[in-house]
Amino acid sequence: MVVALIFTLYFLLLTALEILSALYGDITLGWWTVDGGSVINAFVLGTIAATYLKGAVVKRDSYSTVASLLATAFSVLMILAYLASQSISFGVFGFAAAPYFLKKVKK
Amino acid sequence: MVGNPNVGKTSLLNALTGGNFTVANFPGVTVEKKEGKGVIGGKVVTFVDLPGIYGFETENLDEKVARDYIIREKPDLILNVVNALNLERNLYLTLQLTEFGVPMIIALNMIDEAEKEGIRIDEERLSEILGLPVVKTSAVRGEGIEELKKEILKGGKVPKVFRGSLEEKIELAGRIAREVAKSEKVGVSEIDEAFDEVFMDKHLGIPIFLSIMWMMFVFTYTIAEPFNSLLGKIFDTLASYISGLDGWLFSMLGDGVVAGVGSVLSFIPNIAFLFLALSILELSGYMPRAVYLVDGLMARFGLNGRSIIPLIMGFGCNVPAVLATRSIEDERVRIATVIINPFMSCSARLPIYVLFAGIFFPKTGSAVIMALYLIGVLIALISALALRKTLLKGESEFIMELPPYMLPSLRELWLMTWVRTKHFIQKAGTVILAMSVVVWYITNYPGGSIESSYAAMLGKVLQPLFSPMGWSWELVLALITGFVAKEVVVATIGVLNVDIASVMSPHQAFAFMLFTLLYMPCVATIAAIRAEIGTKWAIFGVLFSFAVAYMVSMIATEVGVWL
Repeated sequence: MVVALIFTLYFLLLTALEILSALYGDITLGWWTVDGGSVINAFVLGTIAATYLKGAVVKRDSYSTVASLLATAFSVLMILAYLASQSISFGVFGFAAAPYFLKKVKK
Repeated sequence: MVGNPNVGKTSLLNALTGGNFTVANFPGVTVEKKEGKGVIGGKVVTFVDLPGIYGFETENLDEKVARDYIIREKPDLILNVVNALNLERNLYLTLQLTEFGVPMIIALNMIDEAEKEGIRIDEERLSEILGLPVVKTSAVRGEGIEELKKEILKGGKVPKVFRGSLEEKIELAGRIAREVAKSEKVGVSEIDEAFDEVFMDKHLGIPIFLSIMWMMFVFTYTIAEPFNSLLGKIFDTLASYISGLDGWLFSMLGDGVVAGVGSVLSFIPNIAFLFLALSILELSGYMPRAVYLVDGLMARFGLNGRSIIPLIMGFGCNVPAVLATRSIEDERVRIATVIINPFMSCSARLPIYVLFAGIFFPKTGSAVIMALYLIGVLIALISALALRKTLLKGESEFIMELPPYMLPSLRELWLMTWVRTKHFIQKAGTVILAMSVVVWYITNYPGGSIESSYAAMLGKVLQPLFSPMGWSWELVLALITGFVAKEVVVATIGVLNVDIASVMSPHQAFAFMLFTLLYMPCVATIAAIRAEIGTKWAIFGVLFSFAVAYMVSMIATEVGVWL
């Protein structure tokens, strides 16, 4: 459940940054500038955070597994979207959930 | 090939024909017909995949099509595809099929999945009871296909006939299933249970569904965009090169045929990506869950859960959205979903809103544009309700089945995507070719420029029709050219050098935006509608949307004057 809580906070942070990027344009984190923020992307990240949170609250692993699947798929999609449009979103950071998802599915 | 829905008939068709099959409609109806040829032992065998059905006792269109086909076309053999995971329910259809007196073979498909679930089936005993050859197959993995081909060559056997009432057949199917199938493990797999718990969660189910829809949207439009642009550029270059040559023939070929057909062909990446995404959702088993989630809401408007995906896709482009209605099994619901789809504001209409909102509503532009999208959704749902209460009246028969989750195979994804995309190219391409030539002619003749063309004359002639809204003939002409593609409305206003701020007031501009949102679909969408539900409904769709657009924009103008 600790993992679910950590991922909840991580995706909440990404959601907040995505909203800021959507509202105020470019956000620079060191060498990284995110310019493709959108409210709908923030909605997806928020949904992922909410799924992890529910998993932590009801103490069920299934929520973290599905949330990680969504986060991984969204991350792959955002990377492809970046290659196609040169516009980047905080969704790309969802790949952090991929090892957890693979571990769960293997199990 | 006859079987329940979701038993893997299409996968088996793929395996037996090596993907050599075409998708069309059964004559006179919108039920999808897949037909393919496979060479077995040097003989060419034609396979026809009939729609998935559960039995023959209702008036359901799919059942009627399947029954009529077996009676009228008299196939040499019925290949009854049975889902090994749910033998009892599938055998009920098998018992009904025995009454046709046609030789049969049973393909016990998804046997690998059944074995994973601990289900063991004694196929020899089943064959003995039914008096039919039974072959265990896994179409996705290519298992049992060679044995099945051998049985097909032998021609199957005329089965024992099992007559009796509905209840008797159900009871008999249950008895046979209990005798031949043994389950060593009870319940669904852990991963299925885990996925269902979350995907069907009462709080998170809908947000997750919307997130997945957004991902599909990004995949279909953003990621396909470079391919679209590339194709667009190729066709543009080709069109300008050809039209640059001397003579009307080159002008027609360049500006008419290549530009027009190219405008449709440049949608192919979108369409292929959409079909790929839809195939992933269908084959993975997620789609039925999504449909279940939104079914209650959609049912209030006479639609069903399957309508939601085409409606959401319509925000990107109505062409693939119309094609996405194929997953709707109920014909009336499908027609209603196709007809209302152009009310979902596609991305091509955005430049029009941006132009007008920027000039007339500089401070509240975003809210105005958002309002237009919402009005489109509202009108679509009201229209669906109206259509389902009148022209498309009738109960929607909708049986929901939740198949197990599966990882789709790449070969199957490719085949499903390619076959559907090819169908679009063949169908839409032919109509577009003719329409492109017509549009080229009326925008170039007799004067040689758009201002002195038949289209301009038409604009002037039709202008009085739009006098209640107070639009000039130039704006009417822009609407006419917008018939080709909605983006062209803005281009025409540019070509004619219209100072829109001086020729209309804000409420007239809002009414104009409403009109462009609702009036007839573009040529490519009409071609897709015609290909999917026929010419009669395509004409109805054009007239219906025009009438709705006219009424709504007139009301908006009147309310604007009154305010």
